[in-house]
Amino acid sequence: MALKEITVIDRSEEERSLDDNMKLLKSLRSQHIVDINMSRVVLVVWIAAAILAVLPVFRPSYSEVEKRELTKFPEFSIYTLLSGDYFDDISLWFSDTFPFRDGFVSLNTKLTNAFGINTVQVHGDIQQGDAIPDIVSSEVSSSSEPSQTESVIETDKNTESEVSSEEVVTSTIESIPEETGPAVEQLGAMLIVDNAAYEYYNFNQVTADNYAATVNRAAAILEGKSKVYDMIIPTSMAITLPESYSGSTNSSDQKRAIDYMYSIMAPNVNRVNVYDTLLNHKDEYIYFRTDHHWTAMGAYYAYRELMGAKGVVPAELTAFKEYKFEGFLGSFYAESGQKASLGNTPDYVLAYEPTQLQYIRTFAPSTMPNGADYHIVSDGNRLSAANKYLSFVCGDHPYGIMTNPTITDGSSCLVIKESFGNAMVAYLTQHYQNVYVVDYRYINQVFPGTIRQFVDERGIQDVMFINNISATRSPALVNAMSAFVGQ
Amino acid sequence: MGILVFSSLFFLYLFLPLNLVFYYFAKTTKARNIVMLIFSLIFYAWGEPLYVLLLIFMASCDWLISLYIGRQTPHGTKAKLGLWIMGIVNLGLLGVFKYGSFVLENIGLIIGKDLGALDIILPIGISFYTFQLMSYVVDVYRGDVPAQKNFAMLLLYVSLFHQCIAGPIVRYKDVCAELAERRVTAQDLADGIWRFCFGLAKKAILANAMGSVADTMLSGDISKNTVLSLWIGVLAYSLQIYLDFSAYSDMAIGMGRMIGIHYRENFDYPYVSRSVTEFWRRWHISLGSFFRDYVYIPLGGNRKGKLRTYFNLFVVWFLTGLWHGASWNFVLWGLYFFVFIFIEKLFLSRALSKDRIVSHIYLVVVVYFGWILFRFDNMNDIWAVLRGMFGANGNAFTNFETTTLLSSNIFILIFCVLVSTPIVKKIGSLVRYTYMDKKAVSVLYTMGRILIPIVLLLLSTAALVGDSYNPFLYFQF
Repeated sequence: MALKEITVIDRSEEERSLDDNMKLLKSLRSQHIVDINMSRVVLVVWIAAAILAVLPVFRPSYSEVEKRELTKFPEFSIYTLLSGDYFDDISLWFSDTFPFRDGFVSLNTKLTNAFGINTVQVHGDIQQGDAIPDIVSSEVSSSSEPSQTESVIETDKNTESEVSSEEVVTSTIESIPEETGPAVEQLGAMLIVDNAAYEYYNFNQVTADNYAATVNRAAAILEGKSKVYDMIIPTSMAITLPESYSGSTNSSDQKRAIDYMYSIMAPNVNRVNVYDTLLNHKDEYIYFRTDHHWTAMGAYYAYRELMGAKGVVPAELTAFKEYKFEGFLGSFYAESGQKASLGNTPDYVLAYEPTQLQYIRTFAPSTMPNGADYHIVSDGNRLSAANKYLSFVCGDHPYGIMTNPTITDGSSCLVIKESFGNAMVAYLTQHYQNVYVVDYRYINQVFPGTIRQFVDERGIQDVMFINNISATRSPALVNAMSAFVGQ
Repeated sequence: MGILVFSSLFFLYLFLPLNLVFYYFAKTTKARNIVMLIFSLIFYAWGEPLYVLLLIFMASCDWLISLYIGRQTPHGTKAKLGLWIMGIVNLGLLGVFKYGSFVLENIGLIIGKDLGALDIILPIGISFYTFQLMSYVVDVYRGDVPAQKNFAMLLLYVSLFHQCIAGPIVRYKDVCAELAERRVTAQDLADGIWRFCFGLAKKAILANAMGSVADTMLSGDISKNTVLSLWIGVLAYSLQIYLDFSAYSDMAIGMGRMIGIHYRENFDYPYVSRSVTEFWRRWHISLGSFFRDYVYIPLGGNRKGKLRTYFNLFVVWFLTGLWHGASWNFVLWGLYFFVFIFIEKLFLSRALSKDRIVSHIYLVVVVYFGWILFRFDNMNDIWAVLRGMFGANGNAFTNFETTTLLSSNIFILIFCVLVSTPIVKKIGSLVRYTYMDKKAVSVLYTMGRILIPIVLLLLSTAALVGDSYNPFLYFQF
């Protein structure tokens, strides 16, 4: 130590400044070397990534998580070239089919999770719901023109808003029919609390009225021939969202919305209110956490209520063969950008198969006229994590029939549904020789007529509208339903 | 619109790498300029396959005019005539393409008749490249720079994809020497990459996150929004517009350095200013200096008496507002700043210089409310937002959704505020220079210098793949 101090003191001024200059020169040189290396490394990595990104092998054409075909390379035309759309579409194709797309999406979600405190998250733009009219009298209105009721009823100031129905069309649920497979329903906004997500519901007065009018019209058309049942299924937002959040969210009151729609349905519509039933079982596994659908268990409780309305003893679950498929990560998971809190705790699917029959005969444009047989419960272990809800009657078909060979009384029912109905129809086979399942969104692909012909040709006794509440706020869906019901 | 934004995957992983590879394989400056010109025209045509002809047409007009002016006696009658023709051609085309419908609409309002609108889509970047061309011709007229004989060089200057469509408004005299002859040093290349990657991350991660918050908080029927959502929404928008625009300048400056061209800085932490006058010296510097050099000073600046000075300022701020868009709210926004600059000139700047904190708060408040005028293009919305911020719309202070959205973005909001100040940068250089001798720090520095751009590139890529939200605010200008 002492020696070192002495040498320091002994250094002359001149030496020291020389030393400083040397140091500066050295640091400049080392900076130069760092810069050269940095440029080399970054450019090599960058250009290698660019080569990977351009090679077609690495470009996905389908997103497993988002369950959609990715954008295709655009077709050339002079018009799109001049308008700039052609180049625009190339850029879109380039980014949509970027290599390792799902991985990057997941990385981005991890990044955005660090943006704040995320035990609760709101995704997407919330549409303000219309005010839900109060039901003035306990007497059920038999008007088939529900718009008249508007002037009679008071509006609820708290939820009042002036969202036009056109706005709602563009940004809530839209069904985009694809060439193959089921239609993709685009979710509106959703709320994520811990490891479960919930879809926002915004009441839409005009569409709700149209929905009720459509059901009323069906009942009027089928009067004297078939009984019409209607079930509006609430979504998990209203049932299983923890109480500390329910009431504070900006989601329309589903109970009041269902009551309102039932209040303007005709007396000859048998209204099956499953809201309270599901609420009584809210601690059970009746809705998926990572997907917007209900489970077969939720569907079972609703089925019991439906049979109660019909005056028939429902079948016990023990009468079915139970299947369990693990590892379901549904639409909420995809919509959240593969959020880890959802991804770490996947759902499982329980499915119930009748003992008397195993197949549903389905009809789609590609399988006309003979149709194709699918399992009522298909092997969910062979479906991808995102697609396990397809275990139920193998997804959405325009039209399907299930025939129970042990019933020969000629009884039949028609279920008019979107995807929520898939989890329930298997139970109905216990009560009818034929269960006809119609997806009103696609039925026009294989059946040109309306409900009158459909029922007449098959001699159907019971017609059941099984719809989730989100469908009743979507003009596109209600219009499709209305088209099938006809005039 | 098919604009090839810098923060698009197509640009990042096809256009730019291809451009750099061609550039570095070309050996002479001339060959390299040809590469840059071809890439620039493709870049522009990618978004505007037809309007690229307008760009070339305007450049050729100004090229001919500048050659004419260059041959005349400086400041003579003929040179003046040339200058007038230049002004008429450039401002005329800008007027028709950018302000045509706006002018028709307002004439219609005055004479009480609907004149319809012109069926013209605003050509991308016309406000930027028109100003570049005009500054060039004026500089030739003033004798600051000789007329460029080679049309391709002038076209290269104005169409260069780094700055053509979103600035900075580069002056010809600043870059003409480097366009003719340049070399790239190791430091240029490294600094350019570094700057570009930071700009990219600033845009793809920070600005887009702020944009998404602002859009959610300020969406729908604005008069129904909670008080807190409006305050947070405007805050997020203030951050977005700075981060977005300065990021674009960062990327332009970075790409310039990668090929040895040094553009001037366009932003200098404007939000730390202490007066509106200072803010406009730090915000979009190339625009402010354009109006200073080509409008304010030619009008006489502050040399012709107080009244004339105020009038000149009024003109500058009217035009600055109008430049941002063919809509009255932009004019209002420009004049809003005029009012504060006027007051500052009268007495306020003396008072402000006394207290650092008060003057900071004053500036931030003025600019913050200014962005409301900038964002909403009709008076009803502006009024609804202002009322709503003070609870006059009868809405709750907050609700579940507002609180949730705020808490899930709280860290990024704070981070964006910090990034808008020089703090992060200062801490970085402080650490580096204080401990330069320490071996560990220099190793860390080396690793950081190499890894940080790669990490930023990776994260930005994830953000761009994962997020469909990627607008670019300054394209309408």
